[in-house]
Amino acid sequence: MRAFRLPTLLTALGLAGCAPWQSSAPVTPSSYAQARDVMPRTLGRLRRLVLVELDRAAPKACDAGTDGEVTLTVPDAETREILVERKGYELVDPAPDAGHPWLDDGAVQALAQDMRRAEGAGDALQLAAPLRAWLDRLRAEHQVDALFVVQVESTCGNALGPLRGALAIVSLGTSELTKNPELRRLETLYVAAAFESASGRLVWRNEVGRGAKALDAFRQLRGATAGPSPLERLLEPVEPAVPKILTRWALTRARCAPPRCARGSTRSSRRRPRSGPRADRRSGAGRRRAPGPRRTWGSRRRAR
Amino acid sequence: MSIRPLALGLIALAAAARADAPPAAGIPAARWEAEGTVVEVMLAEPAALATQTLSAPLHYAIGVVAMPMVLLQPEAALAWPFHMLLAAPWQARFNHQSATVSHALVTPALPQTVVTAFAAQWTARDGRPAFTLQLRIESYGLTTRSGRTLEAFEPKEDLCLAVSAQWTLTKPGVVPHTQALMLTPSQRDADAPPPICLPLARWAEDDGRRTRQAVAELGEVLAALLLQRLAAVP
Repeated sequence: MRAFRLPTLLTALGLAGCAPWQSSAPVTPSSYAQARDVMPRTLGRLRRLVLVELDRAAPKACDAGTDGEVTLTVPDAETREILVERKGYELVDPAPDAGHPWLDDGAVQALAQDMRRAEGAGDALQLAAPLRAWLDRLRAEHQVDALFVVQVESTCGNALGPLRGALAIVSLGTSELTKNPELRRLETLYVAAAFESASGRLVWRNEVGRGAKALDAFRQLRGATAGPSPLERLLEPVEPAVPKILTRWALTRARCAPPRCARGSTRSSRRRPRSGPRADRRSGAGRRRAPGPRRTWGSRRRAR
Repeated sequence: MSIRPLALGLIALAAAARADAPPAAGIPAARWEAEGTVVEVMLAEPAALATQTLSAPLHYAIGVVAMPMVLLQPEAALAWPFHMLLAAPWQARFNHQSATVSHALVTPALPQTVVTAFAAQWTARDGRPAFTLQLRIESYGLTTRSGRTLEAFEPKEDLCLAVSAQWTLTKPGVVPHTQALMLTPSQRDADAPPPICLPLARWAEDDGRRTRQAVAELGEVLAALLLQRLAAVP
């Protein structure tokens, strides 16, 4: 039996490495004060998401590789369908006609670097300062709970430094002189990560792609028909969101410091249906206001 | 090592690992009353987990026969798909998970869960006329996304906690108002959240703890939906 302990342990560790990572610390939603949910949740409590999709081109070490540039792309319809229709999240689009006007090239590169650093970083990872400022603004104006990033990366074995180094050592350097077509063959790596807007820290991460080719080959040997798509495999472990009907909108203003949090309706709150019979009276969203100087929550109190 | 004890053990395991009978019907209705307002919730059908298929006994039999044959002649393993060799213990595990989840679906009973949640979310009538609300749950349980029966050897298909119901509002002097309430993978009302979907193993883990939590949350959701719709009825 002793002979089986080490292989069993290694197998278990390997399988554990395939599961998504989730923060064990409690999260802080920004779009509601309390909810009548019963199931324990972490990412699921952050129900209003802003979705960003990054596309990373293949590096020069791969076939048809370029410079590994990262660009912002329109989120895949399948991603939206899984997060909204299956998991119950609400996707916030601050500017539907202009994409992400506040996310300039510098911020996109900073986000790509944060996605790289997210691997193995755990709770310690925080978004870079420009991204924090952008997310704070979204949180204040659109009550966004989290930033959800999906990165589609074209890569190959040759781009993995440790693998390349190990092969060079084993082959006494000859692997660097000859081009190995297997190592240069492109494969797609899917990575998803969620950053809480209240703190900017990483709360959830998952990755699909490494070893996916072997898994697909095994599935074909077993005669299975088409399995789940890579995006399905990436996003199925996402927790179901807190049902919108079980949340209360009332105390969102208390989390924002004036003057950024102004009373009255914003575009997103006009689109957002209210939940609960008392929410209308408390939130005041959608009410007509008499024309006059723009008031903040704090100034209204002082006027009394 | 003698093969006979192993073969006898497998046969005994196959015989013992039959599917447990589903929980008995007869889940009581629940009722709540306050300030002349009455809320009644009843279950039309018992909770169901349609997981067994006609092919299950065949898989059982193959597994009981295949394992000893493989031990006698290892090269015979090449002729069998891998899951056929483990059919008997695999089916036993599946049956145990199904029984755990079936039991967790009915304890606590959904009607009482809905009534308790309704009472907790209810605010005072504030001068509104008293009414009687009846919620008749027509089907409730775990179903696959496609709506078909789950087989023991399906590659990890998710099961979704689904419910379909009909509610009737009765006020004095007013025609009763009836409306459907759907929360299934294939059909869902606009104000209802998507059903929670998980693999069978996750529903069954820790003696069905996740199932009980999901049922309790479903009670909260149904109560909140009813209150929201009551507010919309003139």
